[in-house]
Amino acid sequence: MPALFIGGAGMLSNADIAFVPDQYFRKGSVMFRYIMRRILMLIPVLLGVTFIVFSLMYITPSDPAQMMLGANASPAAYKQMREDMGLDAPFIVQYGRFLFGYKHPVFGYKGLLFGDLGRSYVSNRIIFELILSSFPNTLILSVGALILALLLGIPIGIISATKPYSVADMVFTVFALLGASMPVFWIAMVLIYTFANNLRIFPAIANPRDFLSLVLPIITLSMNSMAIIMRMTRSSMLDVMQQDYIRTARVKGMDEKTVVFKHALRNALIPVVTVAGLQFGSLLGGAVLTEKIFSYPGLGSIMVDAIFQKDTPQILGSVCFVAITFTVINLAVDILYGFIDPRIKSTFSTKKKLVRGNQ
Amino acid sequence: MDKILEIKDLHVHYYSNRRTVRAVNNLSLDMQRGRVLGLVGETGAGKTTLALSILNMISAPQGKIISGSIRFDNTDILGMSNQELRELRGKDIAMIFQDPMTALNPVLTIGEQIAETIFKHEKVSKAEAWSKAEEMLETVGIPGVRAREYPHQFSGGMKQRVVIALSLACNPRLLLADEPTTALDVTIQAQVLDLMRGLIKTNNTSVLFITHSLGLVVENCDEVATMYAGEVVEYGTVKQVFGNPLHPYTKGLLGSLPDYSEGSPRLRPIPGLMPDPTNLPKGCYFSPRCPNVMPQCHELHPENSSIEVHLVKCHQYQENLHVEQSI
Amino acid sequence: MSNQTFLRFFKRQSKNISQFWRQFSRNKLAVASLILVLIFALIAIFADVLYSYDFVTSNSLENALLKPGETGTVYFQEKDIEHTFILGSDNYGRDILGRLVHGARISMIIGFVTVAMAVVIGGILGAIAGYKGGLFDTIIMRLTDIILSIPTILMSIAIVAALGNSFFNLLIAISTSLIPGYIRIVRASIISIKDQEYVEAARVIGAGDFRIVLKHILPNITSPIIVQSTLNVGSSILSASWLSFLGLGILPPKPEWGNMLSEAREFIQYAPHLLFAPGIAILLTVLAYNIIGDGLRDALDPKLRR
Ligand SMILES: Nc1ncnc2c1ncn2[C@@H]1O[C@H](COP(=O)(O)OP(=O)(O)O)[C@@H](O)[C@H]1O
Ligand SMILES: [Mg+2]
Repeated sequence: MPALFIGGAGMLSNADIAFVPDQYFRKGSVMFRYIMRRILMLIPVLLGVTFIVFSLMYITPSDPAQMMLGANASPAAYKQMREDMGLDAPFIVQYGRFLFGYKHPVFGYKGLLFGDLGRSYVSNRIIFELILSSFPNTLILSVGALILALLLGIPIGIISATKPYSVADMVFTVFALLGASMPVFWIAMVLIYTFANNLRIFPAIANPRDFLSLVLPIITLSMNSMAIIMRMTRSSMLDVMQQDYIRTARVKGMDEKTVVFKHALRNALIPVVTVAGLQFGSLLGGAVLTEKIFSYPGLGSIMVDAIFQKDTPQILGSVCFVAITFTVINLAVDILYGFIDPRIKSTFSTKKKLVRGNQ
Repeated sequence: MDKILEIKDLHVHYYSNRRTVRAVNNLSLDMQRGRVLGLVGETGAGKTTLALSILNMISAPQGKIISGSIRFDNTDILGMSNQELRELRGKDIAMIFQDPMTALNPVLTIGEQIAETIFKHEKVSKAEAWSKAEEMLETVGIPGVRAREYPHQFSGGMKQRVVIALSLACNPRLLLADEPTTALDVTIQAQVLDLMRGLIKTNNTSVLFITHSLGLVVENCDEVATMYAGEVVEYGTVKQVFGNPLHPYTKGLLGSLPDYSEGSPRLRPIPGLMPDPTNLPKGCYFSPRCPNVMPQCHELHPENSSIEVHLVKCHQYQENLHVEQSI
Repeated sequence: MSNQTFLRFFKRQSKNISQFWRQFSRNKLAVASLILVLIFALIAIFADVLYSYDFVTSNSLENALLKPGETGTVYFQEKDIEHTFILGSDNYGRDILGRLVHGARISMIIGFVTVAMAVVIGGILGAIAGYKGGLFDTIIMRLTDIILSIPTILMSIAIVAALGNSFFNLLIAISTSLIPGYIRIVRASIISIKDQEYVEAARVIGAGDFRIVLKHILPNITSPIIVQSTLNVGSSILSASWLSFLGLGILPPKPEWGNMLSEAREFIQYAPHLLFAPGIAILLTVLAYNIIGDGLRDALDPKLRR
């Protein structure tokens, strides 16, 4: 942040230097315990996610054994194949194997917990290899879209909030409403029609090694999030600008730039961070559609293809992977939130102080 | 005497829901240098609005200073540019707000909040500003090392001390204290007031002390002004006003107190309500509630009458004055 | 007895309604959106009067990719008809406006049915969880956590993929991701209210659970549920359109806005009208529900009321 007055850093007296590390160490250790607790609480949720996804795939009307053998296999060969693939076992056993591994010379794998689900029946590629090699591509799109959404959404939100109900604010409000209501795939098609087919500025097919080709998918994907971040920044900023401490800053003779960027923005951004984190999750989901339209080699394309090919293990692996990533990101946002807002940060240290006081 | 502040014919309006709130009406008030002026009046009388007007802090779209003049040390505040105003605020005139819980920025350390004011108004380095901020904290009884802590780590009384340190950091000539202790416990109120009194005395700061409590006025102020529906209805030294209240409203306030010097009793309600500031009565604003109301009170708005420096806005005394003049 | 309670409840509500309408109608944009939604609803209801379903679903390849306003001869029900394609035709020579009109019906059904399912299921689960607490509450809350931790799009895709491609499964897929929202609203409201003195008192007097729910809890949850449902009708229509776009929802030749766009993909170069008509229909509908939802929130939220 540019306009910040740096009251700390360069002016530590000797007494402070002795004081600060100890304090931060204490905070850190409590913070650490809090994070550990949150991670432990995550485990049942993640197990639940895998269970639900597994159950859904279990009831899917597809027959991997049939798929492996082709249509003209003998009933005996078919039965043998089901046995080999572990498909004759009861549901709960199959779920256990899915998590902890399945021993078999051909169809064996180490299990989801060890990041190995064997090979796809359809493509015969190693499932997690495919996931891990395509996920970075999806990440490029999602992170790019999030950055774009923040870079435009926050400043526009601030402009709207500093001049509420002005013409600029009205225009941005309409834009945000449109952005939040437009279907992602339609935005993509309009962009392709305009910029790829007619103006020929950007290609209609994207790949991660060509920056120019990423422009349209990133704009597409960021549209909804940008609208949401913009509205959130605006309302949070409007709310903060009404607060007494903003009046205090003005009464102290602070100029408008300092009031807005130092005193208001820091407070206003706290809820925006949460929203941005949640947006990152939905961007991962939205990437599925965007990738499909731009024929982009990401996890979304792989997932959609797997669904159409009834490639159950590939769907399982991909959906669980995204769900886990999503959950972990949400946790990370929660923890980050704690670092931004001193009120939350210190609830950990005061707890610790209380414990010490009792000793 | 040497005037630090002269307010003449001030009108301030707010605009909400397409209605005009006439918060301050034709108000004139002078403040003497180095003195403490108490401003009392019910909630909604326009006290906070007046204080904000002195800093020229009433801004569109919520409100507007319609007319009048405010001169601070012979310079016209209402004619100042934004740049000049920013230099005035926090340096020459400081303000303390009612609620210390919300007056400090929760995400900045208190040291930073004080230091940035000093850095803004005085020719010092950031390091000097920081150590001066720590010094200020020490003077209000907070250890300098706590400068690195955030507002939520302090209690309400401590926060108000921080706010006091903040407002006095640049030795302002005029301090606007808007009900500085209303939000605090009674015991803490006394401590905070003692502290303020000491600091004001050593710096010879002039103070506009806004309060609900007549007891606090007696203890802390030299002059007192009673405010009603956006105007000052009585002004005089504490001795004059409390010893010989003239305006029926002031009388009502005092009459409802058994002994105002003991403790700090709040204003007792006088029967009736303050008029709706969007729709003020034609004559004297107090006439609907006045026990001594006369026919002309409903028709004519009273002018100031003065008996020495004791000012009162009431028809009763205008008559007297006329009588005196005609003799 | 409960009949009387019902009556009193609705009498009280009707008094609020006029006050609410005064508040809501101040928001001109929301009123305009409401009118738009009503027009769409009328179109959906009278879709068959405007265009025959068979007409908009049967191919007429000689009329493929006509521009808006062009006329063609359609062989329909064993005779040739001279027909004007107001918004042009698609790659199978089907009338775009006619498909939009029937698409409006499908979208509206999906929007309302999914939300109704979610409100009922979410409401009941949330009410039991909040009222009874204990193990049931814990399980329900964990389940909502789990559902919320799978991105909505993925959840719906997985459900349709698992259950198979049908209209009913589409409804389930969309509805499932809406349920946690209602569970949370109802549960939170019940928990905040069930220990309050007046509810305790009502129970001591011997009022039955049903009556307590009706009298004390229903008024508290109607506003947030109305707001949430309105916003969700929009998002459901959006979800349905992209599931159809992916080929997982309503499949052609049934007319649905999302699958119209999906079919249009290869032809937008020659026939951009294929791209704009369904897209704008989705956009306007979702936009209108969003604006109405916001308007309702402002009008129903007493904190914002002046
Ligand atoms: N921002 C504002 N917008 C509209 N009306 C206001 C605003 N601030 C204060 N008022 C109105 O102006 C009048 C005076 O308020 P105020 O100066 O706060 O009185 P006091 O401080 O004496 O309680 C009240 O009627 C109040 O409702
Ligand atoms: Mg006030």
